[in-house]
Amino acid sequence: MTALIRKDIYVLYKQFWLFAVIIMAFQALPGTNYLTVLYAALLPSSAFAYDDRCKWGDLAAMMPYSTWDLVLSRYILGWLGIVGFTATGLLARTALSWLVPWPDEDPVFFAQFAFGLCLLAISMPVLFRFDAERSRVIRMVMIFVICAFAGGMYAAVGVPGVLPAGPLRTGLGGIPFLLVSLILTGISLPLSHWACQVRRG
Amino acid sequence: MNVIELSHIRKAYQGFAIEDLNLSVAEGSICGLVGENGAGKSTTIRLLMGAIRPDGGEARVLGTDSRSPAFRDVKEDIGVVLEEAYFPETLSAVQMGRVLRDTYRNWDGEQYDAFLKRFDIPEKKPFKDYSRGMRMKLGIAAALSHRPKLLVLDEPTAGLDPIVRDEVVELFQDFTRQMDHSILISSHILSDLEKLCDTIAFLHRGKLLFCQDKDALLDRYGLFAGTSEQAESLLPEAVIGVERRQYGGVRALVDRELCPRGLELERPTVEDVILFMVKGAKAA
Repeated sequence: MTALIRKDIYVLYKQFWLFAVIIMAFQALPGTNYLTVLYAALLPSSAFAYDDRCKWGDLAAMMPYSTWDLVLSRYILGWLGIVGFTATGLLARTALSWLVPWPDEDPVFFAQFAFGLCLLAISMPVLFRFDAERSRVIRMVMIFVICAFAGGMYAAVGVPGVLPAGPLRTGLGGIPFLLVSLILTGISLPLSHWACQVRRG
Repeated sequence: MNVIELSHIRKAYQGFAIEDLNLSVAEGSICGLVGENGAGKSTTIRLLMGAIRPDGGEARVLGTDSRSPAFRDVKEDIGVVLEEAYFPETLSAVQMGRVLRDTYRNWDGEQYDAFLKRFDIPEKKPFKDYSRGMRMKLGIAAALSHRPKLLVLDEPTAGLDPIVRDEVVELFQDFTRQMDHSILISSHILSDLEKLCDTIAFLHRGKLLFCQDKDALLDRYGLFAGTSEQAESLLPEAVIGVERRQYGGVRALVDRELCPRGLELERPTVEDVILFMVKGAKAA
């Protein structure tokens, strides 16, 4: 499995610079920093697209990787991306706040994590069942719905009376969302395993 | 002992099916899998490697059912080169070497580096900038660098120039000098297979028409050249396929056993046998 994660990191290495710019941009625009994890959650789909182009999946199916290796390595890539991008985003945000006056925004870390994990959990089985190209429309609809929901939640935090502000303002209010996302991940993993086997025929 | 045993394998797709495929490859031998485009060669390779599941039948490779979980360990001993499936395009040969080092327990980095030098493969150039020949060479280098006992090769010489092709064929011959090393190779370049193989398996529209020792195959059949009247005087079952030529002449592949003794026949090549068999099958 280490081999597969290493391969994906090599494949996406050149894109990391682009992602770094995107992280900085999202961090610089107040109210959009949750979009950082959106990009992180999209990392596995980029890796899928590269694989489909060279039919790596056909070759990997003949190498000593189990189906769980193939599935888990992609989830781990996504999780690493979410953790790494959020951490980079925080650093960028801190660095930017030293340079320019910064609005007093609430960090919603747990909610952000949950958002990223949900995106990953929902999109991965579709990616394993179909290829990156064929699943594009389905994933776009899913991402749109989740983004709209997350955006709504994020905005609601700042509107008095809409959501109980206390817990969310400390960031801890995201914990229930995090639990939901973990349950979704628990369902998503075996589903992806099944989808991967079905695709093999 | 057989390193590959396909028993009554069936796999149906829309418009194409592998039907009751029985094929075995003996340890220490080189088996050439031939057939026209869409005959089922790549599907056969995917079935025996467990990359797709058969609708029926059993595929055993190195003594293990390719559907069993234990087959994952068996794959350590199998080197694979596929014509249309490559390494990810943005990776270089060095990066791919690191990935494969983490993949195979028996990975031999020095061997891999030696192959890169031998094949003049640039170490840091991304795979997308490789020529087709270079891609195949890297695939072959990778397949040979984890000390496999069996090589499964799908069109490995496609896109290679004649000199490199010859070198690769020699490399495969060297590989089978060890008694327990075997190769299953599919190729359109029948002259390569003739040079390399001990047995030839011929797939036609998903059916295995024969799997025979190459020399026995070439001894069994003969090439007849004469007039169409002479050809018509032969037993119909003796004639495998006929090619009409100018001025009433014909060439035919015939079964020597069923022809009159003393009839002058040329020794065919593997390519002749295959081409005439396809013509015969189409005419039937």
